[in-house]
Amino acid sequence: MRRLASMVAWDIGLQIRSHFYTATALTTAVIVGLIFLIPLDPLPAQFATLLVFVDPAVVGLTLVGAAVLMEKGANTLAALGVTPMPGWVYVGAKIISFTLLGGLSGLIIAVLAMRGGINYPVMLAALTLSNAVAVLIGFALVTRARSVNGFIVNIMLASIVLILPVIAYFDLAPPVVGALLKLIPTYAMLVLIEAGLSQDASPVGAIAAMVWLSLWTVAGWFWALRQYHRQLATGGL
Amino acid sequence: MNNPTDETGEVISVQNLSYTYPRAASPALTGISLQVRAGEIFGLLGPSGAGKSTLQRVLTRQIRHFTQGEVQVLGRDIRDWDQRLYERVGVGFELPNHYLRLTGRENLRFFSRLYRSPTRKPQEVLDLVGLGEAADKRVADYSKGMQVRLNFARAILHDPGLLFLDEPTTGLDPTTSAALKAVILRLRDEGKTIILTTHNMYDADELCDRVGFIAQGKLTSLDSPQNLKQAHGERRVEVTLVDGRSEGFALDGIGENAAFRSLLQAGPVRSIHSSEASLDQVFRIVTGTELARGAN
Repeated sequence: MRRLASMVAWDIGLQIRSHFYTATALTTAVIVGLIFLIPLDPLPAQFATLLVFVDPAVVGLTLVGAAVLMEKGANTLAALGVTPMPGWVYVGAKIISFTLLGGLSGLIIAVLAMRGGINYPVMLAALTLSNAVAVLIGFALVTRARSVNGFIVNIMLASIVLILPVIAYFDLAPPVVGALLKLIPTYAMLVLIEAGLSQDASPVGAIAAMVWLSLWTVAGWFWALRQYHRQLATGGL
Repeated sequence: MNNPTDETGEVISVQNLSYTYPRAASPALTGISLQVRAGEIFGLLGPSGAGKSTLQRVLTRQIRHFTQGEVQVLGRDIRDWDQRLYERVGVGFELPNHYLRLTGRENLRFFSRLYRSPTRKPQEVLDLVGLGEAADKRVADYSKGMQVRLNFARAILHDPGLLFLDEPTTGLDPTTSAALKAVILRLRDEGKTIILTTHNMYDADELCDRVGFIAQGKLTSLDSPQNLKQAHGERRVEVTLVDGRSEGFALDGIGENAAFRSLLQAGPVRSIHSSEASLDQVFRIVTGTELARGAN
């Protein structure tokens, strides 16, 4: 655990120096500005949900990819691969550090959007699970990419798939299609974030979303570890 | 930590190793067998693309699925090792691979946290490779030679008993290169085992106790540099006098060779050269390739 804590601290330090915190602060500021420009108080829950959802989407999907691509580009992954650090420390540190970044930003947006009137335990669970799943998806996309261009293509294709549950979230999809779209983890993220934004949300939907996102996190964790060993630490050899 | 070995005193044992890269038509390594003894500097030599880096990647567990053969490192099958192998093994890469936004000291501090065993102080290792004054400079501002030295510093940070170095003097000026080679020899004298991958024959000749030549994925020759040079040269000396007269003599029985003794007394001697091959020549002979001048 000492090595994990140390790796998380170093990852955060590297993210600060790589201006990831600056970039996240800027996107958060833009969203916060939007919140104050809209003459609705409080914001409609579904609209506020979409605003909070932007963070895991941006931080999780994109920034973890950028971080791993930087390490791939500088070949530091090869150097890490010949240290005693187990793969789970590397993957775990990425998840924790980016979940902290995305979670902090999401919490600021959620609090300001609802003027502080949120369900904090549920919102923290929503932000933690949503960011963790998004980071794992971002990690999956970057490990399969051979170049920056490849990563951008992967991100674009994945974004199309991941945004589709918004249709189901607004009840705009036919029943069968809607049921399928709800399996995509972004639907559970939206449901759980909305539950966190409200003081009187249905616990059944929130618990189901938590369970579904937890399953995705566990599955994503093992898959990410496999990808680390097969693609990153040994360059696929 | 000094050289842990198996009961035969071998740190590395390779038997009939073959490896083919995924989707490659021909094998990168074919039937390689060699042993590396504790406390020696062993050179893996050969032309670019011959397979020496591939062999080093197998020995350092960076390639984990090889086609055929047995590889023992520190007394255990390489496939049975996990990441803990690297508590006892150091790997120096040919190309710099650092966190460029961090300083040299920060890079070493970061890596030192990844080991369970005690590590050397970053400043001590940086001083050893002549980077002490640049410790707090961002690595992005280092020259290539400085980054190569930082590679070396990172490889010895945890005081490994077995050290793999890939072209450790690439991009270094002669003075820095000599200083780094002195450090390598000192590590050998402390009992470390060092595997040196290079196509710099001067470095190999100067540093290695034994060398193995690899060409087209096969080990073509293995011995000490001295034995190889003698084996591929002539046992003769060429004597040249100041007045230009020159004559060659067989080394065997030269003390009793009257013509040799007579020539030495015939006038001032300008030079006496033995005709043993240089390691460059051995390289050409055993690998069947020409070595580019100044290649590192």
